[in-house]
Amino acid sequence: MNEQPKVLTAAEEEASISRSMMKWINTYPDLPVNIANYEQLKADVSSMALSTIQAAAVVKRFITGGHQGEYQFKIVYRIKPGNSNDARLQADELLNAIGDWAANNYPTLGDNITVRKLEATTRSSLFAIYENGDEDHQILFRMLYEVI
Amino acid sequence: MDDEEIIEETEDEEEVADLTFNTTAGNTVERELMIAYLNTGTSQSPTWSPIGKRVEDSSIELDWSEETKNDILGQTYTNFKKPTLTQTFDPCELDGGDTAQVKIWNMAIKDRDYAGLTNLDMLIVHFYAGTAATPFAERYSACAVRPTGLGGEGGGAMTMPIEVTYGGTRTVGTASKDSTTGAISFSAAT
Repeated sequence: MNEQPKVLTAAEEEASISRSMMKWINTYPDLPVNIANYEQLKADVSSMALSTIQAAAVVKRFITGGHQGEYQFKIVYRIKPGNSNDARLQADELLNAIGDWAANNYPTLGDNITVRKLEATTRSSLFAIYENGDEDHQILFRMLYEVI
Repeated sequence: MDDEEIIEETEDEEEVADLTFNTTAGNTVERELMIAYLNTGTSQSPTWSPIGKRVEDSSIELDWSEETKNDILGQTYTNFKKPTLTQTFDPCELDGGDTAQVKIWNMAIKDRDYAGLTNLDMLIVHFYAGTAATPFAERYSACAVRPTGLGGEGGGAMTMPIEVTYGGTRTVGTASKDSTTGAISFSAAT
């Protein structure tokens, strides 16, 4: 009832993290596309994007200065499976594999900013179906980081 | 004691002028402008390492041993004693980069140096008071630093909460922070 409103992190901090996250996701060894994009998916071709869910927020402030922030994001994989259930299952398997990989391969976010925890908060699932046959599958993540 | 000596004595006891806050008037003072440091170097060549990394809430508690009484005329009087200062840092997650914590861990966990833990040199810097470049600071020569536990829940970080009682000789002065290295130095007031 008395939940404190979230305090957003500085826009500069969030932008810097998003850039680092783009470099990080593109280091995944079995990426099914040439480049995973930021917030952009192409129609009629297989594509992948990293997308923020909501603005990064401060979750803790420390007495010596610095803070812990939360950055929520998702990875969306667009496929055109036709009638292939196997293609749909493969898409979910791929995203779940990225989820497991992420938990053990934290991104580098820059000087004085480190990842405390990164985990998938869901398993991959179908997110949307379009008239042209495209399907979007997605997995959600939550990352806690510290600026000290 | 002749008249001249009396005058000198009076001058010696003259109080130093009140300090002002160097923060913007009308704004509250940020918590991070008061930091406690542990001397992880030597007495002659101190290295001041901050305590409280990742701690969200910690205050210095002042116990004045207050005693209030009403006399037979109906007047109320209150007595204070010099305050005892204590501060708790909880949860204090273990971090190999936290020099103060590593020193305390070695003394408490590895060496069981209970005598040494009651004789630690600490500095409190009030960055908001005095000038911004040379803020007010107080050094305590024999503080008791008491880790109250070591552990934590599975999947989380290991923690070592710490309770500090500031003690020993209190020396006031100013601190300065190296703009490049961030190292703290202390100068006693003359």
